Amino acid sequence: MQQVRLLVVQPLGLLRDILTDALANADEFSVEEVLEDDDEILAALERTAPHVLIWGDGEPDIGAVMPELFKQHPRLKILAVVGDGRRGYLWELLPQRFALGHLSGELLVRTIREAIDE
Amino acid sequence: MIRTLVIADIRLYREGLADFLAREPDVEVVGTAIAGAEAAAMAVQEAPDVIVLDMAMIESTATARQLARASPRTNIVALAVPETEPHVLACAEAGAVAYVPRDAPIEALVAAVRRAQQGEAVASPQVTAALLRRVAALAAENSLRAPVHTLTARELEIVGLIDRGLSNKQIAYTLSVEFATVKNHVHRILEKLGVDGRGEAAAHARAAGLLVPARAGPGTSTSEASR
Repeated sequence: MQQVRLLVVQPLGLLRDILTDALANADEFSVEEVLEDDDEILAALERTAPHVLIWGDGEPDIGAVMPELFKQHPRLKILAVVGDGRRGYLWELLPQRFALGHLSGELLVRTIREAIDE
Repeated sequence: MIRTLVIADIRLYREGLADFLAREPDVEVVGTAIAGAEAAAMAVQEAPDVIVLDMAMIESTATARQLARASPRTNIVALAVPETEPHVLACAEAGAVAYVPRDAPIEALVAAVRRAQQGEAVASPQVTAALLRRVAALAAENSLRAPVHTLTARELEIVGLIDRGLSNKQIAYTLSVEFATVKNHVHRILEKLGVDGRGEAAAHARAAGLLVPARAGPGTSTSEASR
């Protein structure tokens, strides 16, 4: 089973704990690092080389920074958790975005697995 | 076991918080609900010790009120209350006893659930300050409605003279009115204040800040209205 490296960025404490807890339910997932804000995100991407970045922040900010992230890490997949955990989007180079609908821990894990298997 | 109900409209929170709490050895999650009528029905049916309620939901304050009515012995832990005075006060008035912000770690929520079950309040210093300011404002409002504030200007004048130790006869002389008129006034004052003695009436007025401190004098401890 392929080990899936994950990087989590989430400023809200409760949601950060809920996300990391949900990800811990999958044996093949390895949460490499958990950041409270995105100041260090580029350095953390270099350090951890994650397959998936789980990024919870303001939706517009994510959209603005996305091109630069993909330029530097074209194979990266970004699971954006927006609306205070209400919704999620999976971003990758092409197609750039899938709507995931209402998030649950189970959906989170399944989405990452499917994204990695593609 | 702390029987706990989790109410949040965001699925990730609802399920995530329930999972976390259920793993605590002293917590039993008796159910989860999205909001409103479903939550109230569960509160009635389960009579939980604690309800974790996400205050970021639409109409969350009304939901809190509904839950407090439906299960009066349940303690409500309010999640994600914006720490602004109007939000905090609305939440407290709706019946919440504990406040956990969104940026708190999950351990803070678990601790709040335990303390709420023991009947303790949990709040940040900012929230506590807002609540205490509200208590002070309510106390001031109540004080303005106290019986001593129903005294007329004439009655206050007479209480002031009582406080200075004057008898009814001396008051009548000072105010150039009949002795019987003063007696009537004093009876009415005692009745309004619900006290038995003249000295007690003066003390009430003094405590409310309506009198200057009395000089020591004869008869200040006399209590009958007809003296």
